[in-house]
Amino acid sequence: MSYLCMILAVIAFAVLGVTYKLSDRLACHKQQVNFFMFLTASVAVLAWGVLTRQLLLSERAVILGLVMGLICCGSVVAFRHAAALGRISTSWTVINLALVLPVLASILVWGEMPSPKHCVGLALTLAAIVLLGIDIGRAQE
Amino acid sequence: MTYRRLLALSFVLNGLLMVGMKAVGELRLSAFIPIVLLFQYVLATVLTSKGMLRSRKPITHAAIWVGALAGISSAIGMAASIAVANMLPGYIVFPVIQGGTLLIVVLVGLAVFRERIGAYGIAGIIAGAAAIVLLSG
Repeated sequence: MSYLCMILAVIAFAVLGVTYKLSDRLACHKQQVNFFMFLTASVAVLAWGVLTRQLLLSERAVILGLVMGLICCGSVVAFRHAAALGRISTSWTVINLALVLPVLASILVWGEMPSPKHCVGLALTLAAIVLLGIDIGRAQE
Repeated sequence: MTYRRLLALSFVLNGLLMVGMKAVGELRLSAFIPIVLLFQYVLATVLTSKGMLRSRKPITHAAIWVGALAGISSAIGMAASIAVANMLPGYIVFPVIQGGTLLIVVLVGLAVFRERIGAYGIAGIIAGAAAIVLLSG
């Protein structure tokens, strides 16, 4: 079940990544795309909650949701401005390398200790992100 | 704001969003995933609407359809990530999701958009595939 969820997350986020490429190809207005993205996601989540009767209210859940909404919006806006000011490849690499933060949090805050094999896998992920970022930068040149 | 500060802000916020996904399970809020996501997306919709209205550009059909596809995939990706972050350690979940997504996007770029890839890109794909095998094994 856990690996099915992970595959679903990877496919869904890959489609999201492809939509960024599509919006560039179709010369879409970025702010419009972002607005309709968040609007559609709101409707989809509302429909999911209503259909599965999971729209249970909790003060902590609402606060966490609002904090994540602020972070999500800030992240999108900061990335868009950074990409406009500098090289997209650098911005893209840096934003992907942010996975270091939840990994550190999982080790330091929640006490999840990776095995040596997992450490090698983590290092290879970071190497892959940097290498692909360099390749994008070279293609842009 | 300077480019470096924007990049740093982007790095921290994107990382914090993933920490938030893990926090849902750690705070025992797994039964409230739809509510967390609903409030997250509604607030983001309100905040982005200001920028869109201020630009006063005519809304295009392409932006609506691309945005809708992005929205559905974002909602599914977030819900699945939160669920899996509750089942597996964060040092597996986030590298596999981030690395796997990158690999698929690069491969789609090669196959569909006819993008070219160099030696660094090929090395990156091999490293990413090896990382996923090691992390998920």
